[in-house]
Order: sequence, then structure tokens, then C-alpha cells
Amino acid sequence: MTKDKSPMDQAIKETSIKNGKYLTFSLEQEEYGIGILKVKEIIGMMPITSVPRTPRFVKGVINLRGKVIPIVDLRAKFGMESIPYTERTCIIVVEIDSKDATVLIGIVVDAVSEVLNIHGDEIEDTPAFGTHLDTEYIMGMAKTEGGVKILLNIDRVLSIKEIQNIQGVM
Amino acid sequence: MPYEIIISTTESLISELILSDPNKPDSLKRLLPILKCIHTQCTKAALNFEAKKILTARHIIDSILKNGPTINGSRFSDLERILSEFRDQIKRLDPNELDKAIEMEVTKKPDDETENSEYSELEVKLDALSMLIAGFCPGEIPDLGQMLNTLDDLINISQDSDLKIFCDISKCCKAYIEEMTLKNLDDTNPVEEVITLLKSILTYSKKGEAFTFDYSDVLEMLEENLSRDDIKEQSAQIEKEDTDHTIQSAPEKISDDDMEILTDFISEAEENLNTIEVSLIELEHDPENTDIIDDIFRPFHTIKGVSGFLSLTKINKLAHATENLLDSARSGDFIISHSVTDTILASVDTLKALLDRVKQGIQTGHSASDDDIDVDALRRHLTYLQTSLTKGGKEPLGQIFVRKKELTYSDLDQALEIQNKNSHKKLGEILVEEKKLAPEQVASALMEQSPVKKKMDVQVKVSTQKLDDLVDYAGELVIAQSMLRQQTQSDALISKTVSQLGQIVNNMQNIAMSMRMIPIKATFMKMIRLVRDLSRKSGKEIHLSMTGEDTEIDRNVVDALYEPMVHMIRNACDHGIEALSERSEAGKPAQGNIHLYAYHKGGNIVIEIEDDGKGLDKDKILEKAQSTGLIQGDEQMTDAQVFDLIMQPGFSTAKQVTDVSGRGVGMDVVKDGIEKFRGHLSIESKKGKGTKFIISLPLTLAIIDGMLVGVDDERYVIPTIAIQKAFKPGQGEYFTVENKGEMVKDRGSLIPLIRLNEIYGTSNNKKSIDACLVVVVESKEEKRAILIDELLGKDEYVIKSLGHSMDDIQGIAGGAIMADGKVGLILDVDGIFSIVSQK
Repeated sequence: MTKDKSPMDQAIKETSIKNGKYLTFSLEQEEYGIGILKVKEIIGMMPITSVPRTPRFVKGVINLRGKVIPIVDLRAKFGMESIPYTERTCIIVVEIDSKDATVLIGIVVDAVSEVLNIHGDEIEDTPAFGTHLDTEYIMGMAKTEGGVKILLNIDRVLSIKEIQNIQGVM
Repeated sequence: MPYEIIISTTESLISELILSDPNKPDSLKRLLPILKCIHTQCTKAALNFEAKKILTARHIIDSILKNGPTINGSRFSDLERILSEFRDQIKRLDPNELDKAIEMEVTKKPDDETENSEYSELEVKLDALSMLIAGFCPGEIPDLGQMLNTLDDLINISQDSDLKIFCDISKCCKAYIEEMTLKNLDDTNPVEEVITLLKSILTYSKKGEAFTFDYSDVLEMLEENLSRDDIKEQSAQIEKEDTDHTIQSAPEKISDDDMEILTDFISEAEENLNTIEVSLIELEHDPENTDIIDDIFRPFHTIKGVSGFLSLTKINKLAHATENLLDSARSGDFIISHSVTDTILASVDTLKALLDRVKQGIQTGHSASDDDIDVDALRRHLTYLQTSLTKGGKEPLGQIFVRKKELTYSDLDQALEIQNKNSHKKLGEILVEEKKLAPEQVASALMEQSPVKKKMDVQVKVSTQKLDDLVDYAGELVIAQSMLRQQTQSDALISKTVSQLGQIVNNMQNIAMSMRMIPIKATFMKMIRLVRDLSRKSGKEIHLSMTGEDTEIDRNVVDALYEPMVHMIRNACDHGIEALSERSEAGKPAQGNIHLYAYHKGGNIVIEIEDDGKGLDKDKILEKAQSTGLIQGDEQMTDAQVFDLIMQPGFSTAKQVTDVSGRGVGMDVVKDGIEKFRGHLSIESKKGKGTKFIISLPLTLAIIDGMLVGVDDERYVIPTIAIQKAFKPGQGEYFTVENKGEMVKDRGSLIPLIRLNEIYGTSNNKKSIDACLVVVVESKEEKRAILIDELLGKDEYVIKSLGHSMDDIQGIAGGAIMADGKVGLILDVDGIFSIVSQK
């Protein structure tokens, strides 16, 4: 029932979603943003247990106060060169909507920057970069004083299916 | 004119106040009638603000009267201040305007009067009554008398003008006020409620509409304070309430809007009533199950609510009475007996009949008359049951003596006569005094009279999510505690406290775990129904019996068990148990038997499903397996391996595909289902004798007994249940095949070796076997040796899912949090085996 929304409704929903507060973080030289409502908490680096037979960008799992949550290295996910973890390296715990439940996933980022209030009209649609760059999980580009922030649709970045699919691929 | 009255009375009030002595509070009483007079005039003149002032003054006087002269000084001056303020206010008002306003009020009234004199008369009386109530102070008998008079007027007028509801409510209210007079009650709330109710009835009647709202709560409020003993009065009252509606039931046309709502209501109500019937029968077997009572209560409640809204008064009334009865049962006032269920069933039937009428009404477009369906008798019975059972529904004491043959009827009559003369004495006392009975006998009879209510554990419903969370946190606590223990080992004093803490934590965890345990009975019971249906369908006679159905099992495991059991029972009925003719040929009794066992065995729950059917045909299985290419040919296979074949995907030996089973998706689904929950399914069968499926599942899915091993930098937990042994291979116990396939020799048998780092791809270094240990693990009668660096210990681990995204990783059963807080991975031995065999 909820799925069959008219394109109009969806468009309205998406613009209103874009408007709001974003947690920004850096990866390499680039600045990214995730909707603040998606962020559960930010924790420092902690020992990660690697899990075999998962894609390379899945670093493993951690114990978050009794809950085991998977950790995804966003550098690896975006195909960037991996660097040794520093003091500023953080795990952002985000809530991902999957089909039957919301799940917690930790993402490793170089450093967390700030929380920004980004207005809807500051956000531009993602330009098409051609075949070499999949923009499906980029929600838009925000032009702020501090430069351009790439706003991620974190649900798409970390689709559960993707993490599952790579079984046996190693 | 009223203005002048107010002014003059205010003046006299002030002078009275000056005259009264602050130290003799009683003198203030004289002020009260004057205050009341002013209040009445003020309200008449619509001077609400002023009226309020007077009321405050009055409350002050009350408090002075109550509390005595101790704090009077300040109170008294307060009073003086308020009254002088009031006088000033009154004087400031423009007398002409005021009188004009009053005149307006007065002139407005006659307009209505020409049309509806009774209504306006009632209105005036009601206003008077509400004024009396507003100005009422506890203990003022004359005021109450005035109220009663007003109510009498109301009753008379309404009786003359066909306002039955109005009249009845007024009567109830009158009864209440009488009660107030007699018992010195001072709660005027119910009366105020009645007044608002009456006012709304009046407005409805004025418009010529019927008043159809449920006003029972107001009546209840009134009755609450009335003595409840007299059931007759109550039921008489119900009758009174009822008579009023016959007037309204003249055929009227049903509007389209109503039609829609009515149709919805009927279909919903019918559905509800059907579920009630089923639940009632359940309730007879388990009369104290509040869940079932709830299930019955809710539909009645819905019916009551909606029918009230739709002004289906009879349905509303009956549902209401039934609901009341169930409500007291629900709150544990009495235990439901057969007479109660019978009555409820009767009311269900009556409701159905009433609904039929409504349905007819919808079809014809005019509401059908339901005058011939009598609900009063039933309602009276329901109320009677409720009251008598709530009181305890005791057997008279005398009856008990007679029944026990300790007393003859004549003796009893004598004693009762004495009691009649001497009413404050109790029957038991008299009997003892008359030396008819020993005190002990009386005591024992009294004990019998009030049967000890079966002590019931008070239960609460908790969401499973919360329960799971609790179990999670209990597990966390265990981990945190063991971490603490490790860190404090050096300090003797602290470690003592920590071990004490450990005990508490363990107890807590046990309780948390046990909260999720439920008996397997419910699942078994469902199978009875299944077998009955299946035996009907297939024309076989099959009997299902069970042992150990009270065995407790984790709630999640129950869910895991249901589907596989259904599959296997179907299989047993369809393929296992032979047709009648076959059975008699084989010399077996015509009735086939399926027996379910449940028992605990070493941390597992074992469920066996045994039938006395034809058993598995080994040759047929092998033949089929060869034809489908599952096996190559003459392989050496153990019995268990052969039977395992039927659990392979796409294998079905049934010659005939029925709608029950035999589509080739059966046992493999069952096996997968069970193994997903770390369970194990095995088959024992003898041709011609029967088959036994043995499901073994862990008692709880939350904890696993495991061995912690180190491989390279990683640590893994191997479930203890899978481990056969661990040893260090000596010289000449290690072989390779073509320099690739590795094997170790253990007491004469060769076991293939698995290197975890290879299959998991964690590292490439191939360690020398000499520096390592091997752990021999077994699954499905297959053995493999896993190469490890070291054994780190054995413990219980709380299994954590790795999350949705990583639930199904082959070879990993889940995660567990180690004593240092890091996550360790639990190996899935089966999964590892299949990874190896894929390579």
C-alpha cells in the first residue's frame, strides 16, 4: 500500500527529506554528508573482528554494548586507497532501513567534521558522471560556504543485499 | 427588580457579618441563607462573576465552621474583604441595564412556552436544580429537600409528556439524593452529571430527536453509592430503562449513511460473535484463563460501543450487561462456571437474532421491529449472576451442615427461627450455643463455604521484543561480569565481591532464559487437529498420542519446530501409515499410530515422531537416488546416510503426488529448517515396522557451549556439540594426497584436514602440522579435522546474530562476545563441510 505512491508524492517526500541537518565527514579530500536522523552515534575506533567470506569493504564486526554490528569501510566501498587508522578515524553508527527491520551498521570514516543545516535550495541534483561513477547512492550536492558536500543516501550506499550478495566471492 | 433585592440583601448580609462574633463561629450560620439568596438572584441576573464571589465567601464560612475558631482571625477578615468587595461591585452596576437584561431573559421564555410548555418548564426546574447543587454545602438538609421537590416536579412533568428516559433518570437521581440525606454523603458529582445528561436529553427532545447515547455510566455513578445489596431494585431499574425504548422502535426509514454503517457493523458483529462462541468453549476447559476471557470481552465491548452509536438499543443493552459480567470475571471476582458460559452463549444467540432483525431491516429499507425478542429476562439473569457470583455465590451455611449430615432440617429451622428473633447473632453462634454442633464443625463448614480461590500466579503480558532484550542484556551482564572477574583476579577482596555478583548475574540470566520457555504442548495440540484432518482426507484411521508434552522449550525454538513437524506428520500420515487393506495384510491393527515424544537430553530438546507404518524402503531409496543421479552407483553407505538421501533436495519416493505431500519438496525443507536453528534431524526406520524421525534442537537458541580456538590472529568458537576430540598429531599421523589433500590419522581412521585460513581466505601461510593441534569435528557421521594453533578454553557463549546483512554467511553460525569484549566468530561445522566439498 505504502509502496504504490504516486511519483508526485515521492518527489515531494524526497525534496523534504533533502532539507535538513546533515552530519558531515571527510574521506580523502572530499566532504560527505549523511542525514542526521540516520546517525545513531559516533564512536572511536575499536577492535574489529574480521568476518570471512564477506566483501572487501566489510571490515568485520564490533561489539557495540552487547550488540554485534557490521562495520563497513567507506574508503574501501568507494574504491579509495586504504590508509592506516589515525586518532581521528571514527565509526559512525547509522540506521539502515531494510525490508523487515532497521539495522545498525557502522561506517569507518577519516574524520567527522560538523553538523550542518543545509537548506533544500542549496542542494543540487547529482550530475551524471557517466559510466565510471555510480551516482545511485548520491542524494545530491550541497553548495555550502565550506565547499561542496556530497550528500549520501546511506540506505543505498549500504544496501543489505550488496553485503549479502558477495558471499563466496571473497 | 432583582437588582434591588441583591442590594438590600447584601446590605443586610454586611450588617449580619459585623454583628457576628469571630469567636463564636456558630453565629456565622445565620449568614448562610442570606448568601444563598444573593447567589440565586445573581445567577438569575446572569451575574456569574458575582455569583462566584458569593460562593467563595460561602466556602470560607464552611471552613471556619469546620475547623473551629483557631485560625479564624485571618479567615474572618478575608470574609469581610470579599463581601465588601462584592457590595462595591454590585453598586457599580447599572441597575437599569441589569433589569433590562433580566427582562429580556424573561420575555424570551414565553416564546418557547407557546410551543412547548413542558420543555421550558422542565428547563426552568433543571436550572433551579443545578443552582441548588452549585450552592450546596454538605449537611444542608433543607437544600436537599428542595432538590427532591424539584426532582419530583421534573418527574411529574416528564411523565405527563412521554419523556420516559428523562423521568427514569430523574427517579434514579432522586433515589441518590435521598441516600445523600440519609447517609450524609456529600459527593454531588453524580447529581451534576445527571443534570448535564438531563439537559442534553431535553435539547434532543426539543428537536424532536430520540436520545440514543449510552448514559449507563452516569447511572452507574449513582448506583455506586446506593446500597448494592438489593438486586431486585437494580433489575427493576433495568426494566424501567427498557420500557422507554418501545416508543422509539416504530418503523422508520433507514438513511443511506446509516445503511453503510449498519452493514459494516453487522458483518463485524457476526464475525465477533462467532469467535466468541469458539472462545467460550475453550473457556469451559480452562475457566481461569484471563486471555480467553479477554478475547470474549473485547468483542462484546465493541458491539456495545457501536450499537450504542447506531441506537440499536436492545443489542446495546444486552451487550453491555454481558460485558459487565465478563468484566467482573476478568478482574477475578469469580471463576467462570458452566452456568455463566451457558448464559453468555444464550446472550450470543439473542444478539444474533437481534442482528438478523437489523439485517432484515437493511434489506427492506425500514428498520424491522424487534419487540418480540425479549432481552430483559436475560439481562436480569446476567446482572443477577454478576452480583451473586461477585458476592461469592456462597452456599448457605445451614445447607452445608445438612449436606454433611451434621444437622437435621428441623434443627436448622429452629436455629433459623432463633436467628430471626435475634438478628445480630450468627447462625453458627446459635448452633454452638444450642449445643447442636461443636465449634470445630462450624469452623470447618465456614471454611468450606468460602472456597479458597485457586491461587493463581498473576501474569503479565510482555512483548517478546522486551523479553529478547532482557535476555540480551542478561547475556551482556554475564560478559561484563566475567571481564570484571578477569581484571580483578589479583585482589582477593574484590574478587570475592565479584564472585558474589557473578552468582546474582547467573541467577538473573537463568530467570531471563526461563521466561522465554514455554511448554511444547501447544504445538503438539495443533498436531492432533492436523492428524484428524489428514486421516479423514486419506481414509486411514490414525491415532496420535504424545509423551512429555509439558517439556519446556525456548519460545523461538517452538516456532522453529512447528513447520518441520507439520511436514513430518504429513509424511507419516501420507506415506508412513499404510492404507487399511495393506495394514490388515501385514497383520497390523487397523488403526495406525503416531506417537510424539518430547524430552530433554544434554542441553537439547529432542522431539521424536514415531509411526508404525511401513517404514523406509532402503532399496527403493537407493534406486531412486541413482536414477536421479544423487549417487553414482554401488557406494558403501551406512543406513543413516541412505536415509539422509531422502532429505536431499528434489527427492521424493512417493509414487503418487497427493495434495498432502509428495511434491519432492519435503524433507529437505524440513532439514534446512531444523539445521538453521542448530538442530539435527535423524531418521531411524525398519522396513515394515515404522519410521522414527528424531529432531534434536538446542534448548535455547541464545547460548552455546563452545571451545575457543586460535587460528593465526583470529579466534573462533567451535560448538562443543560438534567436537569429537582434539589432539596433537604425532610423527607419521599426517599424510597428503598428491601433496594437496591433507589427512590425519586418528586411531586407524583417516580424517581429511581443513585449514580454516584457507577456506576463509584470511591468510595464505601454510603452517607446519607439527606446531599445531587438530580438532576433530563431526557432522552427519562425517568427520573432519580442523587445524588450529591453540586451544584457548571452553565456555558458554551468548550467540549474537551478526545482523541481517551477515546472517547467512556459510561456515559462520554467528558471533559471540569474548571475555575481552571483542567479537569472536562461532563456526558452523556443517557449513564448513559444504564449503570444503564444493572445492
